[in-house]
Amino acid sequence: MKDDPRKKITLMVTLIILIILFVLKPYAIIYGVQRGSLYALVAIPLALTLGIVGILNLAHGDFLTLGAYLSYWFFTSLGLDPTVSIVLIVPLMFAIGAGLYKLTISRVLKAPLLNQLLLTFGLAMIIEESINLIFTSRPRNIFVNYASSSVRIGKLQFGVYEFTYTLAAVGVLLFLLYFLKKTKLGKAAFAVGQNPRGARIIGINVEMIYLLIFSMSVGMVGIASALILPRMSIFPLVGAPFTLKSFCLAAMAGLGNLKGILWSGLILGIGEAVIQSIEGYSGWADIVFFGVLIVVIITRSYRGSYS
Amino acid sequence: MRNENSILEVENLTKKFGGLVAIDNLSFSVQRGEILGIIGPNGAGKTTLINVISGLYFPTTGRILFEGKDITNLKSHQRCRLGISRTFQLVRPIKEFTILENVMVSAIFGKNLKLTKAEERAIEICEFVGLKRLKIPIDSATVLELKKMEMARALASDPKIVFLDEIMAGLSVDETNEMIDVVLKMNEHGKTIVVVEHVMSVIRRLTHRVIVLDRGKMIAEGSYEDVSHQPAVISAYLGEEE
Amino acid sequence: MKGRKWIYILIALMAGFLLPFYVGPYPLGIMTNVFTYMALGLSWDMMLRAGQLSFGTSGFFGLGGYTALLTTLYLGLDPLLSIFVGGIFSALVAFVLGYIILRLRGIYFAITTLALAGVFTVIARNLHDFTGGPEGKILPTTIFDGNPTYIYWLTFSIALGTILVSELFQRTKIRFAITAMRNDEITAQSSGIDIFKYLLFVFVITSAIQGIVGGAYAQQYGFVSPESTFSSNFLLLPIAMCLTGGIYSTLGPIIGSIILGILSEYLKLRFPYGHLLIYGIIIVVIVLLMPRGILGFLKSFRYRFSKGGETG
Repeated sequence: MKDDPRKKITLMVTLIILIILFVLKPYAIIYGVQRGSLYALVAIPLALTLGIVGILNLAHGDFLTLGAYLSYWFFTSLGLDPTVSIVLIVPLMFAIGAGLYKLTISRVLKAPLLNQLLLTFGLAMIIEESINLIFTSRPRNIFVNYASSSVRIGKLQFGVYEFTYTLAAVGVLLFLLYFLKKTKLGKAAFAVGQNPRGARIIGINVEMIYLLIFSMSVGMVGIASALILPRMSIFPLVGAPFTLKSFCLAAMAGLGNLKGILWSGLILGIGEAVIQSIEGYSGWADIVFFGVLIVVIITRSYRGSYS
Repeated sequence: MRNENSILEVENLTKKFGGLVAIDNLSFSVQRGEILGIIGPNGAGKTTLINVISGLYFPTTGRILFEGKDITNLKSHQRCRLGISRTFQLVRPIKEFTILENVMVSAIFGKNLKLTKAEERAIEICEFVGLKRLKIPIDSATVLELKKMEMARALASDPKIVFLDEIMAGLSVDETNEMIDVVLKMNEHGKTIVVVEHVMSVIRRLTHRVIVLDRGKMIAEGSYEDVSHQPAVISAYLGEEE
Repeated sequence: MKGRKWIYILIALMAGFLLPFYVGPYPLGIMTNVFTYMALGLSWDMMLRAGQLSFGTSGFFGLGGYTALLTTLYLGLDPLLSIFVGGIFSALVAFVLGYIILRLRGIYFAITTLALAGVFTVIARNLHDFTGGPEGKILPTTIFDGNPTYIYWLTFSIALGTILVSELFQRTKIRFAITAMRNDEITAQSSGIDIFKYLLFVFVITSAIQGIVGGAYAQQYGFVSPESTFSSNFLLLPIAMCLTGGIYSTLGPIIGSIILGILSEYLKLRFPYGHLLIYGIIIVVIVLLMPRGILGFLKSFRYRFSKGGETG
């Protein structure tokens, strides 16, 4: 409650900056919102696993790649529209997640942090290199009509397909909030995230919750996978940077704050888009997240909140 | 004031975790050479108090003075080197090390000794607390040996004041008696000792003076006999436990 | 027993030093690579011994490589000297960065270091005029005019130096500090250990080693480019090697780098595209099945064996 005035000031300042930016660089705002929504869409599942299972999945972004190649394969061999293929990709990715959880993750839950990180790092390498081996490093893309539709507002003309990321991110967020707050299963998962030992004592099947949440996270990444395919060239390393950016957003929002990830995603997306729009400096956009991460770490350590 | 004789002074100490007040405007002092007991029901803030004094947490408000010097903003390792030492309720020994090497760690860094000197000192301290098997791996140590190792670790940095956090938990009657003797011997050798303990008979036999905490506040102070008959203390214990 | 150990070490040293007189340039090149990865692996393991998982190996390796090459190119620095300048620069960057990120440790440290190689790649690509952008920079000549024997001796010495530092970590009071920190930070700091100071120290030392190795590598080929110099090979291989041999020791990374270093040459010939996959699999399998590697496996085997012998 005490934080309220500070929050208000932050909100006001952000709003003013946004308005100024919109006047100066309207495209940067539009593209930033689109890109930031995608970041949030991918980061929300990572934060979910981190918050409830307590595992930082370094292969997270590579699941995005995996799903995109699945979607690509459905499109080229079955002629399945990527957006339609979501109904297949999500359960398929869920199953892959469940399998990997059973085979690998479940065995390091009690191991030291180092083992968990090394394991998921190894998984990331396996996914990247397997895809490299099967599909080679040649970028792939597909064409669907609706993905290139655009609108014109005044002097501004921009693609609208990418706003599906925004819709999906908000959708996933609302679903998760409902799931965690209102359903019995979700409440149990929330309790496990808060206090696994306590949850076990009151009779919650913690292992089952871990399996479910991890698989759900991988499944949800599948949505992003299918959505990016029509607008992005995919290659074996396309998803890898998303792991870092997703963690950056989770750190910005603070552990357990799913709503905050959406806002953090927008800030990062707009930040990148603004840098990218400055002539001669567009290449630097890829390290904006690193700067943000460093600032987050400094503020966190200054406040002295230890993990 | 009685400043000369007090080794540690806690002034208006408050520690909050979010909305929860663990220590509430607490002031007390520890006299040089005494054995002070801190008791109170579960959740009274005893372990939090040790954590704040040893520097694991920083207080929300208030000051801590050690030998007249303000140490509120010092870090844990700095306080250790000044002469504040503690044991942990849950002993987390270094499993790759022997008992002796575990004790050596705090001789090396707490007292700033070279390896050979640190080993000599660690052997001395282990003898002092009655540890006999020094070169055994941690896996094969008994509970009593681990507890004694924890005491030896706290002593190896040559502290002026030692906080003992429930060192008797999990020990048999005979083992408890042995530990009490060790603590009394430490005190005879000039260590100021603060004991947090659940077992009242231990407090009665060890301490010169007792502080009773309830929900982060001091509700009584005095000898064990005085304190244990005060209605506020009895009701605090009855309200929380049993 | 102790005397015999020294004889083994002496034989290994002699064999390492005399190798160029007995083998041709191809096997010598393989061993040069082995020593490159050995030094990287040991430096990674030293940070791990302090309880922190660093993914920054390839980043500091590349940083040292760029520094060495560019100082020779622009300042005309002696190649041998430039290698050390590369190490110093890596150490400097590690100090500044570590000062910030080592306050929050664990996953924050791991992920920030994981980002490093990528960040340095972006910087190298965008500072066109200075670094040559995406194409990188080439030196007119390579170190020792490309003499494979001298190059071998150089990497051999760097590996030896790293082994020496690693042994210092195992034999001085540093061992007590980092093992205590890795075990439990709270107990460690209550025993008087300044955790932040030690972590920063280890991070700077290991980054310096990685910078030196990178500098030597860049001078060996006379070439740097963002993709090749910051390649994830220099991260993935050392990790796989340490895990294979056994972490938290000097001997483990040595064994691992020799086995995997030689194996990797064979794999590269057999599977020119997919060999990196194998390192990923090695990492996962070892973390799951024998987290202390070959060395740990042998130790526990011997332990069980001797125990069984006593009772039976």
